[in-house]
Amino acid sequence: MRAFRYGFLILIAALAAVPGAGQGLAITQIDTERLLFGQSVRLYLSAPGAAGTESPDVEVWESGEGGEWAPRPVTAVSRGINDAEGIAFCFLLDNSGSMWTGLDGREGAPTEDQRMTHAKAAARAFLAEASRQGRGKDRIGLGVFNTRYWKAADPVGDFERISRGLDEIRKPATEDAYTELYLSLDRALADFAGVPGRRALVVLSDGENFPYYIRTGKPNPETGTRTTGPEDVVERAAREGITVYVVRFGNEKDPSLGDAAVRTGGKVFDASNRDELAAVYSTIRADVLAEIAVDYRAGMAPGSRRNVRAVLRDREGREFSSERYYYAGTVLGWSRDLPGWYYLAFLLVPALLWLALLVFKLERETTEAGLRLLYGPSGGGTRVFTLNSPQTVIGSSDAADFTIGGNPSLKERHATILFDERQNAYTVVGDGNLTVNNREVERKRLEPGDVINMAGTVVVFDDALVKKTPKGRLPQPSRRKSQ
Amino acid sequence: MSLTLKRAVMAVLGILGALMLWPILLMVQRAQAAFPSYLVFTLSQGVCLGLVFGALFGSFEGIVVSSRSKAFRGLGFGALFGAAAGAAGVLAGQLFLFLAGGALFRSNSSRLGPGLAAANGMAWAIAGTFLAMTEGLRARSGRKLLVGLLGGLAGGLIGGAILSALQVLAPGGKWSLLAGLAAFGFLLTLFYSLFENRFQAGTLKLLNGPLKGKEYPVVSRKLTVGTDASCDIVLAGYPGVRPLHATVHLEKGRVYIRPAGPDAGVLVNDGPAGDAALRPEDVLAAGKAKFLYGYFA
Repeated sequence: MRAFRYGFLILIAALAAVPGAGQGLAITQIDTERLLFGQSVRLYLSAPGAAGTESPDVEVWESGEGGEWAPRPVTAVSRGINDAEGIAFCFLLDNSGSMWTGLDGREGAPTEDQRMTHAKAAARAFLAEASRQGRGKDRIGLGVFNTRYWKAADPVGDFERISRGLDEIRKPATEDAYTELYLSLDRALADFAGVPGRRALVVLSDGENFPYYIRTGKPNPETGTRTTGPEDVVERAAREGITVYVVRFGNEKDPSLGDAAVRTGGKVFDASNRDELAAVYSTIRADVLAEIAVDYRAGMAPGSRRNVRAVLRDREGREFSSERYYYAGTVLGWSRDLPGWYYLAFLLVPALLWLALLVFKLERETTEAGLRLLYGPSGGGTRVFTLNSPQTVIGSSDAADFTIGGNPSLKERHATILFDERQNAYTVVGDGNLTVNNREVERKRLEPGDVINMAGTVVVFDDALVKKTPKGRLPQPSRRKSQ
Repeated sequence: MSLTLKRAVMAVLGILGALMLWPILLMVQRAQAAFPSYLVFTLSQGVCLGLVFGALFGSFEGIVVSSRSKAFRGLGFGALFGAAAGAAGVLAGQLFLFLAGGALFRSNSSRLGPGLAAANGMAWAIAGTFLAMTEGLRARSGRKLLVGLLGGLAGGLIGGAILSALQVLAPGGKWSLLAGLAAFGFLLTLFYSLFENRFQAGTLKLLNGPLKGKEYPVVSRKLTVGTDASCDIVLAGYPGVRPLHATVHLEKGRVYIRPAGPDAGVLVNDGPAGDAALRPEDVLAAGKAKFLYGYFA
């Protein structure tokens, strides 16, 4: 009885490994590495429709954001390109209640008959093949789901870790035993999307979508009331360029899952025989290696999203096509508007302003003698005092000519500035706590720019540098005087 | 020119650059489809960007010290250097953007908008850094290079992010570029002057004469003082100042002033300039020009 059952399943597996109907072409990856310096883009096409063709007939079309489709010149079509990079796989293992029943769905089946046992064996056979054929370049990750979904491992080259991850899988409690198939598939695709290179997601499941929210009416502990179906999964897989392969266990077939896998460019395997399972890896690898790399000269349509369509004709003249998009944004953006006349104003007005800044000076020369408050205990200030009498008293008193408040150390009459009309010269006089240019003085003839410090209140004496009086003095830079 | 006024002039120049660049770049972008390749397209835009901002920033120093010849020479030099730096910077930014954008498009598309804004910000930061560092290269000053790096980074990050965010909201809209450029120009100059202030080793403030009130931050290792227009501090209109009168040196964070010749009169606090480093509140004299050294807010 058991031998018969296995024989029947082997037959199904052999049939199912044949590519499904409707599958012809998928752009699995777009490589824009040489876009900037070579204006060249490479498409990877999974094209079972052209499996036997040595140099397939491929056309590439592009369109910018909302623009027309235009043909692009194809520069090279080659095969077997992906061999050098290795493949990133992600197992998504079903750990729902039904995975712990027999292949025929019976509860209480012995461990060796349980679907989970077969699934783990399939995954292990896959790992063994990957380490034998993958030449250390492949990476494998692991995700597990039932009511919940969790990522057990990102794709790694250390397959032992994945093997240990498989060991740790235990039968779930009843509440967790639902099969949140499409939601988990969607989440796994999102997780897997950030992984670089050629990616294949391998779902090991008995393929019965049994969502928690729909079946129980209660929100899923992780995803709430969100639902999704095969359409969304196919859409996401196509967008991310991930091919989905399905390894099915059990007799109940979820037709949508198989169909979804085929539409992403993948295949479906019905597996219960260990020898047959060993071929899963070889088949996927052969698919990836059979991909066609198409180099073409990219267009310059504006916009950050560039749509690309590949069209392939097989020997019988059947046409397959697939679309994806890649990023073609430019640093300074893009504009669809026509420049108007007023753009000229934006050019001219700032240019004139700039010229004005260049030509007109922003400062005025000192023409009359004065004192400028630089800083003091009361804080800064731009107070300016013009010297226009023979004697100017500076101090804190209101009776002083130049009154400076806020400094308790400043005397009521702290310093006096005398003007000698005959020599057209100013002299500062004080009796203590007075420095000019940081030197203690009691009396000093002032030069423009001299810094007078009166107990912490600092003023600058300023005057025209070149005096317009007949007695205008020649500069004497090395003159030093502190009487 | 006081620090505040200086910052204002610099920010005004940044915004003027943005206003002038906007129609130029829109014109180039309008013709995107006619360009043979992204390389030529990117370099063209980079040259435009660098030319305008480079010329503006190059003329800044001359405007600040009110030296027309210095301004026009700086303008020419800045345009030349800026064009090269802009081309290299925008190219590097574009390279980054293609890589980042490619990765973003391959991954979770729900975070595409913010992701692209961040990527574009980074790309602009790269371009801005190239642009703002030209002044440091020209002055051969490590501090100015650092100032340019930080200013370009900060201005670029925000300007690029603004452009990208607005492009997500209104794809192909012309105003997003203007907003991005204005933010870029304004912030780059603002951060540049903030960082310049942060990395200065004191400032020389002119106390008298026609350029009274101007502040010269000591940022590079050597500043020349004289009447010649090629000097860093041009003292045109000051009696007793030679074409090259003195040099200000920055050595290990300390500032020194040295006469350029045996009979060039340089005084510190009315005494001869010795070997001692300058201290805040020191009063320097070069001919009839008088400076106050210190840190001014």
